[in-house]
Amino acid sequence: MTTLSGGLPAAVDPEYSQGVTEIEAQHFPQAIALLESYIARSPEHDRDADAHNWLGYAYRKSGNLDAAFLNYDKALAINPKHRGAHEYMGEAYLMTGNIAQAEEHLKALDKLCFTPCTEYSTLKRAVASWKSSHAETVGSK
Amino acid sequence: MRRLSAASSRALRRALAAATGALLVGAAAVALLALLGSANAAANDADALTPSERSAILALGPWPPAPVRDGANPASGNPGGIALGESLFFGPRLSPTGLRCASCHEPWRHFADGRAVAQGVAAGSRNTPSLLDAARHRRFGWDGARDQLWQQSLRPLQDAREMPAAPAHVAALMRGDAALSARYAAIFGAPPGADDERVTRDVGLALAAYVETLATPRTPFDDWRDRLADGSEPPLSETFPAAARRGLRLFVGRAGCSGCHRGPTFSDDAFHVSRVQSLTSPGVPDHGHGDGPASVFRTPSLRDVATTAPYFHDGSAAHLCDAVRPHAADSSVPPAPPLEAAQRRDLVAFLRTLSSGASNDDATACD
Repeated sequence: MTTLSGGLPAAVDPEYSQGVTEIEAQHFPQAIALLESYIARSPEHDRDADAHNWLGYAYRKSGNLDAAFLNYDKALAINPKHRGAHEYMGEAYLMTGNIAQAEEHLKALDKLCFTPCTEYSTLKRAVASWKSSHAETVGSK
Repeated sequence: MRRLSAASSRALRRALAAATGALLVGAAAVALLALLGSANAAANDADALTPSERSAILALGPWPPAPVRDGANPASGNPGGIALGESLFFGPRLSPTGLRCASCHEPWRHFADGRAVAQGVAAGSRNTPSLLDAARHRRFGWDGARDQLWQQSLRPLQDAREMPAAPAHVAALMRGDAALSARYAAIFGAPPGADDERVTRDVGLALAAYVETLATPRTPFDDWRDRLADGSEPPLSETFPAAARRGLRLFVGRAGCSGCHRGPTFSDDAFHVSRVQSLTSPGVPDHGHGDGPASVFRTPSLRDVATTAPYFHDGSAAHLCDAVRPHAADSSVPPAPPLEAAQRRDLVAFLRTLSSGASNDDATACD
């Protein structure tokens, strides 16, 4: 778990934990403001892959894919094995219709998950669902 | 089981004895060679660096150099310009295909993609180079077809196989998004106008401003080299072991690597004939730079090299150990001698000290 300079887990930082709470309540603008502030407060926070991943999620759910991708990329640059960031990046690619790139992240998760993990199964379902709906769209034309 | 005749049995015993003897002689020879080899290696390890070796090693630094700024680019070194370039680089809207610059230049893969050849909307024919330290070059791309970073930054948009986007698409994005338009205006003095080519050029300038900021950090080699510059040769360590020192001496010595991979970037930024030949499409040879028949490519940097496999312009060398075979066929470069496996292992050990991150190369590839 990411820790603050004082050794406390990041989750107890008020801005960070409130940001995550706002995401769970689907209050994405509030979550974005809190997490951006948390990340800007110190270089150590800027190296917090979890924070970038949450921020990317909030941006994605707000429809700002530019900022979502940027933060997922930052999370993966900090921790290339971040399973959540691979899952969300794959889902973001599905939103742009880029199935090939989404499947790249599914492959990455397949390698990372030695035992079944929710990130892999969730993205796998999303990819299958995208393919199914895409096929229906094509089929209906 | 059928019993052997006495004659057959004697013949078998003689054959076994001869084979055993041969094995023993062979084993002794191997042991002697190993002993001689280790004695040579030990002597080599104990040798002081010659003045020419020392000079050649010091020429591979210092690192990092001063930041790059392009005085002709208003976005260069400008925080707003860099941020705009970063947004465009990571966002999925620059190309109507949804492909991003970061789809191939992935930060978590050191701004390369880990593939043999690029995969945009279609398969390419060349390896995706890392963007780290890109601004240190005078020519860009494997073939050096562009001499301005902003021009190179637009090249994937102009390539039908990468992330094709017409200037009209790029300009419409900048004009149609209020936030992007405002950020553009803050850098270039006015909102994006009706001239699609002009707006696209400015997008290239913003992308270049961001790419200029991508640099490799200091490495174990840099620490060792700087201590050498300060005075006596520094001790070996876990991060710069004896094998790396042997590899470094080969690198600046008989292997001839530093003939092209020279200077702090480990690249002369020049073009050389490569023994590695490939095709741009079925039946069409990739000549690289220029129109001649040879396979000519710009010397790539070796900083961060252990994290950016595979290697060569066509990605045909899967591992560093495959890449440290002689590959220049240039008349301006002295022919490199063939290297034994142990020497290639040492060269790889040295090349690993040019990276600060975990290697994605297979350390057993020389075995």
